[in-house]
Amino acid sequence: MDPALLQTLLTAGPSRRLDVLASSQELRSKDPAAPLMFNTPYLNRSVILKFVDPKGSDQADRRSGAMPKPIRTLIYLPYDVTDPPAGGESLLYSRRALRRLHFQKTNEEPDGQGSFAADEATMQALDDVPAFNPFLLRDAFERAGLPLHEAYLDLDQGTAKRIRRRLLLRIRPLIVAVLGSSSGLVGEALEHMVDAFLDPARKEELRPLAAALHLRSDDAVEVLGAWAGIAYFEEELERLTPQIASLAQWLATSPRPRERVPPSAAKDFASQIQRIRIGVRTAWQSLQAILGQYQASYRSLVVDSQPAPFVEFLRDCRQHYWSAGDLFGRFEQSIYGWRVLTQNYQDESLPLIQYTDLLAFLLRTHLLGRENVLEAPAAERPAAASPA
Amino acid sequence: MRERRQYPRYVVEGLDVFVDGMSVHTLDVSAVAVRIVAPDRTPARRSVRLRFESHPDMPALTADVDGQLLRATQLEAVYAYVAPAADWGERLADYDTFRQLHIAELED
Repeated sequence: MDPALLQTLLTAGPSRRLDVLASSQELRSKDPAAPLMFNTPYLNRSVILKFVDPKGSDQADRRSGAMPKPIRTLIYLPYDVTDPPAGGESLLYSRRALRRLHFQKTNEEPDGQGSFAADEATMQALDDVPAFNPFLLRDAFERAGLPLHEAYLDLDQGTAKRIRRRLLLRIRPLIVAVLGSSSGLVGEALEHMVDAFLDPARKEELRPLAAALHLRSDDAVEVLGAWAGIAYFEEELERLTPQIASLAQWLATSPRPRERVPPSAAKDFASQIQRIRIGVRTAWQSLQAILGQYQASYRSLVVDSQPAPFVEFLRDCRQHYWSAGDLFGRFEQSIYGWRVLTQNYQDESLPLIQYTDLLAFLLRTHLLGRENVLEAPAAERPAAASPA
Repeated sequence: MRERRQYPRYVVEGLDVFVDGMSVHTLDVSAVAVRIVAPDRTPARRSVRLRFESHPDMPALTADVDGQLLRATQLEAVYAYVAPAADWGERLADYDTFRQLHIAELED
């Protein structure tokens, strides 16, 4: 893998990077008998990454007609567990690719049973989320009926409670609006259904709700889970907004490197900054559009008793969920990298080497896989910049 | 005076509603009416005392008003009330569960 890309991926925030290796080591240092995430030792030495594949979704997904995922799951196995960034093997996850890897590592042919089958289910649960944020991860494992030690979650209980409370408050009016009085549903039964919405083990109880929303029973739970997941990104975006605004303001000052550079280089830097600004702005608008549609369709159902926009939103809900996860991950990653690379240069220009690294990092983070939607209109292309 | 349905309705968080001292589940609130989950197995009362009370981590708000039953089904009940303050509607908006979606465009 390209070392610069590897560095970008390994410095991602929690939405893009699940450090199974570090969490497993920490867990075992505290409790030598604690169950690790995987049964297979080499997988417990991995770092799992969400990777925006410019080539698009998995061929197998496309062939099967499954929803194309804008983000792939990448398994990274460092050569040296004490120094993961120094290099390692990487594998874009698919069930087949994982089986191939397992054969290479163990010389055992996976038979879909036993301990490796459990690991396959775990990897699939990790592949089924657009981001590794603890709330989403716990939800995905609960839905898949898989155990997961809290050590892998680093879940902020306050955030989890807040999101759950918010969801409960929204779900109650939603169920009343969808099922109405004609369903025979009354207070206590309503509360049971509200609780069932957030409890994957009770998904059968949501059948009447799914039917009223025109959801197919085989994917109703996944769709409703995706709808709930969008609320998570909404909450997290609120937390991240001041930092996104700071990054946008920093970019708007057209920062230059500390050293003087030739006019051609200055022009090139200005062009890169402009592309990053367009990337940030476009991602922001895309995320706002998803959340705006989420809100408008909900209000239309609950306040105006018009179910059609909500039903339509649910139809594309999984796509919206994944897109929101992708966009949120880009923001989180760019904020993280920007903070790390500028932390020693408060109110100062960056030295040229850090400056070029940062621009390259932000370009990769915001433009990878999105070049087609980020073509700058002619009017927005920068004029020739003057040298520093 | 606006018609009741013209007032914005909010799905609120961090604001509890009590009917005659009993905590109830709120479906939505406007400046002039509140829609709640109907009490189980007992008919909704025609005249009640409504209390609005914010959570400690939210902007402080407390109000006691009289409520008149407008409509009731086995699932929900709607009570009308007179707003206790001129800016009551704006204050309720602070508790709207979607308030953070009104994030301004990035100022870049």
